[in-house]
Amino acid sequence: MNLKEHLKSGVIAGVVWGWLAYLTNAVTGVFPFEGSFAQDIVSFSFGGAVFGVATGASLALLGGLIPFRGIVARAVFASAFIWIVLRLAGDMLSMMEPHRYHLLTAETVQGLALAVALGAILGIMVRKAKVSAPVNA
Amino acid sequence: MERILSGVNGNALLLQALMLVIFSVMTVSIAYGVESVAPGVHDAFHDFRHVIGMPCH
Repeated sequence: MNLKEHLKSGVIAGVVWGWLAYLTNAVTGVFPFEGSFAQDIVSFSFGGAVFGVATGASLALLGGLIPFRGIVARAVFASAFIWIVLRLAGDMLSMMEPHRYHLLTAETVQGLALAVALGAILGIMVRKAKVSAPVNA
Repeated sequence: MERILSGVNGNALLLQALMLVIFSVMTVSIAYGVESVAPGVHDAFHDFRHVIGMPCH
């Protein structure tokens, strides 16, 4: 499967994940939403798509380096790895500019769980695309 | 474009790497709300950033 298929799966998985993130936070109440529903649904969809594409592209280009055989496990690893790197860099930003960047444990736990969810959704979509690819060819 | 994304073109690797960089920059911009890269990105993705556990004020 090529990069194009991974990007396509990444966009769809990312948008679905964005909505899942919104729904999850609405249920857990970890962060009280400050924006309106209309504004948030757009930002969560677009933000989710960007994260999905970045994860899908990383999976397509660097997936061979991930020490797992299953595509879902590899996607979960890639997604969680990207999130952890971003979070660790956020720790450094927080140390450099503590008045600007704050980190909260509840949001961190929710974010890591959502990163795993993004990987699972993306992995399932890529696997489905792989299965259907020979039929479409 | 189709050929580039499908990896047929000779410059495919370079362009794929470029795309990865572009999406990485977009991801980082959204994750940290980097206003110098994209003005307005901080406010636009404020709730999203908190929900996915990224640092914010």
